Amino acid sequence: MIESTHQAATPLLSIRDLFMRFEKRRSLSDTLTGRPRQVVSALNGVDLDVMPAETLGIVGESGCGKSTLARCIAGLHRPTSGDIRFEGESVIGLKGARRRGYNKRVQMMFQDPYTSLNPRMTVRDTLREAITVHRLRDGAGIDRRIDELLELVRLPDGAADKYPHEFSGGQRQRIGIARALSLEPTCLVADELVSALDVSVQAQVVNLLLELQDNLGLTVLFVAHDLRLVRHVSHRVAVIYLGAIVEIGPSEALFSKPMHPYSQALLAAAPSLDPSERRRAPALSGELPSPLDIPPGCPFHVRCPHATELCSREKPALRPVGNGMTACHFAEAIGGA
Amino acid sequence: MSQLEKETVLEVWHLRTEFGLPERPLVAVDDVSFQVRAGEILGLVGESGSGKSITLRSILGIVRPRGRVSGEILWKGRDLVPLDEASLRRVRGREIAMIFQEPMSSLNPLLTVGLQISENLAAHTELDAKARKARAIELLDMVGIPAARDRLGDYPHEFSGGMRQRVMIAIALASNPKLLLADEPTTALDVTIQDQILRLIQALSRDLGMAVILVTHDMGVVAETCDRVAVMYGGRLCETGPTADVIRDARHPYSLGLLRSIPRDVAPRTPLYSIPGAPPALNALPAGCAFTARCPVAGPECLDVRPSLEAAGRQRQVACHHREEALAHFSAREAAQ
Repeated sequence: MIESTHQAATPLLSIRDLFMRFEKRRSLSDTLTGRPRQVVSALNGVDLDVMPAETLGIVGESGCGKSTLARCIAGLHRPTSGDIRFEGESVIGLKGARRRGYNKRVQMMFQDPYTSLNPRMTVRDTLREAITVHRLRDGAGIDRRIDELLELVRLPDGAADKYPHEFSGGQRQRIGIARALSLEPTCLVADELVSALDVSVQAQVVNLLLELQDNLGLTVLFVAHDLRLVRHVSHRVAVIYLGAIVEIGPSEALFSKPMHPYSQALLAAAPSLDPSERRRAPALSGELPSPLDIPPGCPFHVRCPHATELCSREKPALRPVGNGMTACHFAEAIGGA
Repeated sequence: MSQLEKETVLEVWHLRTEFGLPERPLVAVDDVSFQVRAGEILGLVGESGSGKSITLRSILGIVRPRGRVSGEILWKGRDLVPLDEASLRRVRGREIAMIFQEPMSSLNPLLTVGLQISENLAAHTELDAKARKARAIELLDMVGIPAARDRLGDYPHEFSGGMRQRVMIAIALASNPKLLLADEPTTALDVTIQDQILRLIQALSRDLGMAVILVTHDMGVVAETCDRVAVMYGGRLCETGPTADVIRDARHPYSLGLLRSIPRDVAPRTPLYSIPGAPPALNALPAGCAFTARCPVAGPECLDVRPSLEAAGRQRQVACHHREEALAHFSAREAAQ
């Protein structure tokens, strides 16, 4: 149902051909020997549409660029090239009031609840800062809004005047959510929101996020490595490998029938709760190649069990396969098998 | 069920590890008893602060002198608790080896991996230098490091995270240990690499007849790797049994809740079961059951009377005063969905 409405709607965020390169500093010996500067290619041509009020899950191994993508969207990195459009308007290089306007509407929540809050500021100070910088309320309105926010994320009474160290990890993530919501954003970028939390506490925060999203009509980018959780919360899921999307599609379809060989391996490697599904051989051999030196052709071909000579030569484009899009020359044959 | 005939190598009886002032002790592990057989993989699962790592460290006496260990740790019939450092050192690393979560901080960054392996060989075997080198190559080869001969001279930073963990395992295996203690060996790794390491530990345990105690917070890791599982909460064991039985049919309210808070077979984007509250602090543990404050079926006696770990079916033990109520509570919840 949600899928059909998405087809018709215009995307909230539209990302085209996004590249992000980080140059490494040259060491003295590199300079003396005239070796070229090394470049980390974190994002290599990402194309992505995010629809209003959907949850888009982003999964991949560490170093695949999923956090870089989240940070580019939240405006924390300026991409090397490519375009990010928000409601049709490019947000790259925005300045002044328009930059602040965009920042207000797209808010980020971070992974580590211990380092993402200022330890010397009470919860009230943290929330007040956000609200006053963007001049959303004044006078008594600020305190009313703070109470409202804390109730929204279900922090106990009296939480406002405590410091971060007085809270547990789960409660700190709620403060992070309250801080993001204080600006009445349209879109939340959640970078590994619950991965630092204990399993028994994760569910509390995930439930809160789902409820807030439905009540406030928020768009959520859910970046995580826990595949079960991503499957549960996302409408659509994008699988990233070495800075490019290799597969994107409706969550249930992608998890029940992945088409790209990398998605298949990633899903198979995730530990299943069913002991009868035990395997003796690992799902995927080898490791992620260095983003300093990305293989030519299909970036996955060095680890792919189905790779042919074509794969090492030609980079496959993201194209419609089944219910979603897949970047693989042989998606039909591999996904169908 | 050939496991039944294998000899029991480690018996832990009433293990108690406490820290802090003797008059106001912080009890990290309280009255924990379990056994491990040769060739068996026992999973010790719990949240952060549940005492699972301290249990493991108490076995090798590496929490001393700051931690006070009492109870019996019978290694092949001999009690390790009263041993002095010199006698412990003959067991440590030789008969019982340990691997840690952070392979980077557990390896010496200034020594080559070849040297670190042969150090262990020199300490625990009679091999000469040439034989040690040959054995080091053999070990690196066994844990799946490609081109082992060429990598002996490499330093830890030249290996990736997964390869470093393999080096750690190779060092641990140098003395042919009969018991491997693995403290969250894959928590810092990606799922695909985690999968490779877990399959490796499984194969080594099977082929070498080595017993393994695997500490983890991930039920999926337990399901895929362990023969038996012991669930810890607040420094105590709350449930033990064969992995498949515990996962299919948990009995303790904590394990029941924990398994239900992991999304599987639930409609997407519906609220997950969440255990209310947060794990208790060590200085705030009740005299009775540690889970009382978060338990849906707790009665008045739970706070004061400690439930003992009692037999509950074949090879299973549960510590709960309200077993029937717990089962009824969770099956009623499931029926309502």
